[in-house]
Amino acid sequence: MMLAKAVAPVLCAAALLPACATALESAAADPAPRQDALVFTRIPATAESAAVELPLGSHIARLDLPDAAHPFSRITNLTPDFAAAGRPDISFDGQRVLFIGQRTRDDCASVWEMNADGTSLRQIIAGSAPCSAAIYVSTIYTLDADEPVYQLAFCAGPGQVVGLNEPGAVLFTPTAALFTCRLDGSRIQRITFAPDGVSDPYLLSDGRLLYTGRASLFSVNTDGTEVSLFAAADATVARCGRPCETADGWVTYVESGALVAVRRARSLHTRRLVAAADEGLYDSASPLPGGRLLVSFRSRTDLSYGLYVLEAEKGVRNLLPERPEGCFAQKVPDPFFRRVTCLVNAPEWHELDGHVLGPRPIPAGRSSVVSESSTTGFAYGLNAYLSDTKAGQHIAPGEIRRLQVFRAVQPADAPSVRSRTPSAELLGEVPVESDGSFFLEVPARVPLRWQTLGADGTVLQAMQSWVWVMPREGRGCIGCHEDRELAPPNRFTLALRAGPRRVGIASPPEQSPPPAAGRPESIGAGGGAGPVAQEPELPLYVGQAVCGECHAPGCDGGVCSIPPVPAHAQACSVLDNPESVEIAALSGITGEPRRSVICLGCHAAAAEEGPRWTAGTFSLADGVQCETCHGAGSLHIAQPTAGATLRHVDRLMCGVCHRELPSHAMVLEKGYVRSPVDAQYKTPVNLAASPDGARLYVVCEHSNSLLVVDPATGAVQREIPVGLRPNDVAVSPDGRTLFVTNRLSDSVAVIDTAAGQVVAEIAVGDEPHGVVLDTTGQQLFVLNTGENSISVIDTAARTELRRLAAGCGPWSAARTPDGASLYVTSVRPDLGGFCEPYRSEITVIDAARGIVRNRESAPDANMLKGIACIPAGPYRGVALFVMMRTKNLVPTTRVAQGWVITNGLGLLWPDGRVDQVLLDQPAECFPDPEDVAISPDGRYALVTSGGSDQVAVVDVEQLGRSLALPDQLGLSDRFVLKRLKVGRNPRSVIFAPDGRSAYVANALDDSITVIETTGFTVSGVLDLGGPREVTELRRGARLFHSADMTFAWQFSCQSCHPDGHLNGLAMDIEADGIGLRPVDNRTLRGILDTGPFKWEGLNPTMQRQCGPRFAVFFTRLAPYPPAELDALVRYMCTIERSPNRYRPADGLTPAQYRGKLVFERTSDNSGQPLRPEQQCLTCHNGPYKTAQINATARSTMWLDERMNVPLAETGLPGSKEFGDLGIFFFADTGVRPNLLDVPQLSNLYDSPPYLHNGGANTLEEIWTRFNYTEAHGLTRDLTRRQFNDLMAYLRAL
Amino acid sequence: MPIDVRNFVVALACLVATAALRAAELPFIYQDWEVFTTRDGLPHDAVRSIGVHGEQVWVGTEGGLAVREDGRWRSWTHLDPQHSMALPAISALDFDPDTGDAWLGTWGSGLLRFTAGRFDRFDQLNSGLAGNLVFAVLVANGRVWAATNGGLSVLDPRDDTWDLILERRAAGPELPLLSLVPEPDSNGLYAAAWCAGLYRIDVQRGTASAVPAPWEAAADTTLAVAQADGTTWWVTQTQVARRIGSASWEVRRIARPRPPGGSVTCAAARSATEVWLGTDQGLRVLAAWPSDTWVTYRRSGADTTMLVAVTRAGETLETQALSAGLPDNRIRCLATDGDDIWVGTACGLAHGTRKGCQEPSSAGSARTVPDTSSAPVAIGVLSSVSRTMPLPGQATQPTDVAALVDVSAVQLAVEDANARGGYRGKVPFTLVTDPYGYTRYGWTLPEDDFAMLAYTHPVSGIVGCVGPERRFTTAAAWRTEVPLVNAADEPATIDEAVNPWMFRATRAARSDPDARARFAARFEARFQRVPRAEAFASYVAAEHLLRAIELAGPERDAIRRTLDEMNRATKAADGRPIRGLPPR
Repeated sequence: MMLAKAVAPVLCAAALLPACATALESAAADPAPRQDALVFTRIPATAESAAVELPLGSHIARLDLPDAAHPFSRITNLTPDFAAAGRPDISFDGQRVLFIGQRTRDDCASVWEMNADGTSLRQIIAGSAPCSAAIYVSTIYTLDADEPVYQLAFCAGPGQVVGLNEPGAVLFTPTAALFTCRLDGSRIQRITFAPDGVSDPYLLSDGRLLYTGRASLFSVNTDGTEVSLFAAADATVARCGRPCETADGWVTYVESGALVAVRRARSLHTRRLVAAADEGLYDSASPLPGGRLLVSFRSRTDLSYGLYVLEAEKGVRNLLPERPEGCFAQKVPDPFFRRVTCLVNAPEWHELDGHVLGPRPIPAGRSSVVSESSTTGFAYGLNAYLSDTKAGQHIAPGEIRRLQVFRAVQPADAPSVRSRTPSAELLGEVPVESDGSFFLEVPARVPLRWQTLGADGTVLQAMQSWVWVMPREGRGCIGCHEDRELAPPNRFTLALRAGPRRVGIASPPEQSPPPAAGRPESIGAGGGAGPVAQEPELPLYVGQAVCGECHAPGCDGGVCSIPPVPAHAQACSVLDNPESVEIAALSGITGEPRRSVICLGCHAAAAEEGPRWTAGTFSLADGVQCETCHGAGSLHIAQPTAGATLRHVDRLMCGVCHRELPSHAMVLEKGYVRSPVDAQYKTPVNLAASPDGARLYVVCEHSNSLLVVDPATGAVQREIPVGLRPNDVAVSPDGRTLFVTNRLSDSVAVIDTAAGQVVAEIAVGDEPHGVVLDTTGQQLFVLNTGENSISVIDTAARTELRRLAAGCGPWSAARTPDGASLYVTSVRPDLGGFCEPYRSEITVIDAARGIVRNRESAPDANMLKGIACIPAGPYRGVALFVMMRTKNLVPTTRVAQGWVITNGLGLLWPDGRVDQVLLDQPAECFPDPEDVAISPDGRYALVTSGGSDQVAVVDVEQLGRSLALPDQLGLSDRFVLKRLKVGRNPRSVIFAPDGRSAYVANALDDSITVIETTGFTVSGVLDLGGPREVTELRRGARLFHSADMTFAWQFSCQSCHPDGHLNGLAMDIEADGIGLRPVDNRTLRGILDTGPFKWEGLNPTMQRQCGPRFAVFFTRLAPYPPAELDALVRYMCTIERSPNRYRPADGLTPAQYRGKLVFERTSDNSGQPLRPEQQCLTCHNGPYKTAQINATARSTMWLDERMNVPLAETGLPGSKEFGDLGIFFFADTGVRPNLLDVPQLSNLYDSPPYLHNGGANTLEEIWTRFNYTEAHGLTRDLTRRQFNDLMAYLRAL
Repeated sequence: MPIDVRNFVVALACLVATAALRAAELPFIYQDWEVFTTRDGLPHDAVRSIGVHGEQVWVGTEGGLAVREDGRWRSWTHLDPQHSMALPAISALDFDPDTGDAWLGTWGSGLLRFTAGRFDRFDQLNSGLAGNLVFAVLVANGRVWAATNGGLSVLDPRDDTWDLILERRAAGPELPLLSLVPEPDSNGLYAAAWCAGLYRIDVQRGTASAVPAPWEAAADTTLAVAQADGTTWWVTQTQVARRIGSASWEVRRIARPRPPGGSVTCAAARSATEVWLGTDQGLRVLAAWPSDTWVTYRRSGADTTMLVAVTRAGETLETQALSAGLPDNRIRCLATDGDDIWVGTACGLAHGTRKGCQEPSSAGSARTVPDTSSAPVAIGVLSSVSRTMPLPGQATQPTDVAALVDVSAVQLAVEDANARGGYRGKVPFTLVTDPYGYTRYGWTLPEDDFAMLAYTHPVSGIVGCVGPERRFTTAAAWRTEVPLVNAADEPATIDEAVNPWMFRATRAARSDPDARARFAARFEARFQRVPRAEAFASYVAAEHLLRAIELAGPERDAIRRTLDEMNRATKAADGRPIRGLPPR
């Protein structure tokens, strides 16, 4: 690199300005910041070790570049009153400068802040610990805070660190460490505990901190968690330091005088030399707009460092069109810097640490689980045999027996020595499970390391570095010396199942055991046949007029003690009001309120039973009437003296309906109404092309229509109304007929393309999603996602031929090139064993015979959505499908390394083999892959990422050659050529029949992105005509589908809630402790009125659930701002329930009605009265069948037995297998509430598995397997037929 | 020509003519047999169910499922892709011709849907299925009928709804349905109840009604029902009846073979005049109803020779000896396939064909029993220790104190035998009292133990106290062929009397040489399928078992007292009750 030697103190000014101005336009809208100034450190050139220490005479200088008012550049000393000052950092608004300063030569270097012009000087940190650097940090949020707060981070030590604005806040550090505090210096927290010392903190755009430790770069969260190696020097003697990140995702740092860059996403595998040290030395760098760098540089011939601008080489390589055959694709250009412009270089000064004085984007805020109420944290290894080192790979399974845990002990003397070797003190020893796992509870904020031992005590592997855990942190590792680009395999380890072993922690005082799980006295108390249960006669509703014949005033039958209430009589008619429509919309109700069982449940009588069970004298319009409370009265009429035929009523029963419902309050009290604009959105979710490519058929979910679009002009030629929530479209081979699935109408609309209208509607199964035709067009295959089946339709007769069993949630389908087979993906995994790895099915259909030929499995993969077959080329016939790999069995920690969800592609080979690769990279994911399309020549595949608004361009040949490493992050560099930014929430993608273009349906932009496929660039956007205005609901929908709110863009809300529903998995989240118990996912459909939320029922509102808690335990970024949170919640309230397929239109079947009577019974089969806790209605009442309380469900299984439930003392046979689900459920508050939220039962049928930990695969199992102690309702006296009836009723709710 | 000569010629001509006539009237004798065993790809030699579906032949065995297509066998032995759970014994199977799915009944694991390589399990815990012992399966009108030990369950797989007919009730008679067939020309079904007659199922109304028996109902030994060409066949141990359409029943006695022996185990009809009966002594075919012509196929001794006899109205017309044929005389299931017949036996599958077939792929010999004489001999105890689903009319199915005593008594007897060295002084006996998690979950049935003891462990024999009301248990013993020693005091009912696998542990039975011989023979038969149990195949072992039962009877109270004392003593030592005796 040729460097121009500076010949004047200030040489160039114009080089900086234009680009700065351009780039900073997008920064935060702060008031008129100056953008033509630099702030930097000036150190006398005579000083030694200028880059390390701040010698006397150092000061913060400000360089003002020329402007209209000041034609000459000026340099100002901002810290004239300091003996030494340096290491400035600019606040995010560009108004203030943070720096290290010494007032006098005897002072300790500490942290100061001043305005950008040197005024308003204030000290923030004091103490005896010398500070070496300080930076501004974005926000941090914890559950005990009201809102996110901004922070500072600084390096200090050894010595005492004193927060000036918080009396008594003194921390001692034996070595240099990284600290955080609030902007005023309060709440000082030490966040690094390595005994080796740290320096050079830097805040990455994703909110992580970088620092230098042990000559390498480490990343750590701003709460001190998840410390991890970020980059290491190329040579052992080299040292990494002074990192900075540029806008293109590269992190540049100085490595022994050279300038080196790594990609933030793959920092350990992308090291590039930006500028070698052979022509001079670099000291620091900071980003400039336009991808340039502001560097401190000293040439070999120069005595002092100066500030220079490095510019990227123009026309960097893009290897896509001209790449040599067989060469791995290079998706991101290397950062080649060629031009160097000197800004300032005074011979008597070193100019270091230059920063542009102006506003800059605020990096992501973070959320934290760290709690000061705890003094311990957790460390767990998933598999000690998994190692990236040769030594570790030779350890035979079973060889590791124990684990020794050491802590670092600093020598007590000479605390002023900066770098000392600590000694190791043995804290304890724990066994390693047979699967190589271990799980420790250890003291927090203590440097730790461990080593594995064999049976004879031989040390097999030993850590060389020190790690720590923060209070309540769960720190996990995959293996000993794991590959840092490896996501964890989804396995529930023995150690996590057994619970943590305490090491170095005093045992807690003995607690008195909780009460034993109650064993019903009647169990084992002798049998004896009771009366045989007779099938009940089913009563009809007769109506209030009939009741009044005996119960009117003056009649013999007595009069109701509740005086007539006019509102009761009008209860049904009010459902026709506009407000009722709004309330219904907020309750997830499709259709009119007057037809909703939920609405009618409180507004009328006979709502659940339906018209089939009403007499001619009954009128729904009478609203709330006698039988609303007392039940159907026909049997009472037949036997007036038999009181048992009517339900006993007390005033407590009024509360079943007279309760506060947020939906009603929002509409009736707060006046909420939806914007008319909301009804105008299109939301394109799938599209298809006509055989000649002249038309695009776009399925619009929100507008319930199909758009016919001319791709050449972008004109919407026709909008054809179809059914409710259309999802997919299939085009007949002749192009004359379209078949559109209507997800909430459970039908397929048949469209005549010539007539441009629906000509028939075919009833299919529950929630049809995908649809595909065979090559002849004679058989149509409709994927009924809601009921796990595939309807085979005769297209000529337009009738259903048969219904095939599919995987769980069949979603999308593709034809093989020869048309012989169809592949169908499944969005949910098969229901497997408790805490066992899951698999998802790809159903293979014999297209000619119309039956299932085979079923292939994708292990550890879920959310199998879009699928396409490679039509040509060497991989012809291979199917590609998008998928996620949700890690539900490992704790949801280490978000950066794929410990929650990874996303990728599956390859289904013709022989049935399934390979998987990831599209994610470490700390930069490809969230919510939705669809895949393959070019007609079979060379390229396009994959949409609904959560990050991207389309990945995949080289199919390279993909086919890649190793199938399903958990390897970063592998996608080998086959992903590009990642294109498209519209919001891209769903479907198709290639035009001629392959020259591709189209992407941007669901939440109401647009179609057109991609030209020669260079794979975006060539245009087709507007589908949705409104420009973004309403609150629309904004909420975008937030719901965006991964922007998740650290590393790992997932969005819909990653676990497709269609607002669920993914069928129970996950090990941190809220209730690591490894103790999984928590079953719950649907979001129609949940507004079902609070409290979450299984512990600790969140009274959805705002609480979706805001703070979601941030702390899931996304790890700052929670949504209030306005965004409201929008998100508002959107979630409108997610609709699907129509209940078990419920006939005319009401309950006889079996369901019988089941309802069982559900509502107050005595058992022998006539003995049931206690309230034994009755279903006690907890499951009201319109949603939840009392909206927390209760002790006390279903039983082995899981909690480990938690000292003394079931063995109960004498139950096989007591080791039992425990109590409800008793030992840890809340994040650390308490044992003994209670669980009573779940709502609406549409219960479509949300398996059941129970709070997902232990029951079916409804029946809740009672047959997990109700041993009869604490979840009394069911043991039920006959099998009664039990089946009860299940039938529950499914009809 | 002298008169004598003329008479001789005439007589000879008559003889020749008669012989020719008789030969012409002889039924077809299957001489071409293929035999398939594990060596040919079957997952297990003990075949339990056969279904012919187009060109496919499906075979359910005690170790998995197999299908023959295009001359090749494919088999499945595990329930899930991870191969972690073995398939249970498949007791019955049928097909849904619409979807191509096979529905499998199992012993102990409920109903399975086999759909393109995937097994979907429906059992009494995870679904509306009433019981896990499935005796018969029928797919009719898109619905799946499963005869279980909890009643006749009906699944509509399209609507995912369950119904239950003939629900098992505590106070009523138990009605184990052993086979199901569609009623000709209607939507009804016929179900054969174990020694309890024939029932007609009204599919629309979901009701069942007993079909009037054409014989004395009190001695009914109904075993099976079959159907072909609009004709329904009703089979008992001694008689067979047919009904063409809605006509009245016609009855024939089952021809007794020579030498006598062998009880009917299964039946399959080919036409209105031909029905095949499987017995545990070979095959019997009513080849022509009008002439009462029977053909018997039976292996001869230990070699592979098969003897075929044709009888008519009790007269033997023809005998042949074939070099190969059935692999075993214990016939477990049958299926007609056009002119062919498929025969499932305890030791392989036989295919008899009218077409010229290839050389038998197997010699048809019985399996070799491995020598495991040093392995412990397992004895199962069928008791009511477990908590089970309450039957209708029963508040709960409690721990049966008497059954606890049974367990303890047998335990003491085995300990006593083992203290003396066990079998032959060197082979210990083990007692299986808690084979499965029946104690683990609430909704189980009394016979769930039976299936697990029979197939999962498996045990050599089972000791139990089976009262006259427990027909599901006797039916399970009959179908699973596990010797069941009954310690009940009540007189045996007909279902027990006709059951060759049940024995009474009475002093009289013990002293009866014939009973002892039959008992030992049954154990031997059982041991051929249970490798570990060869050592138990002895009269000595049976002696011990009988002694155990004997102890469980009159000495029950004394044993109870002894156990109480032992409990107290043991508790004093370590505070824990002895195994198998929960605290009172």
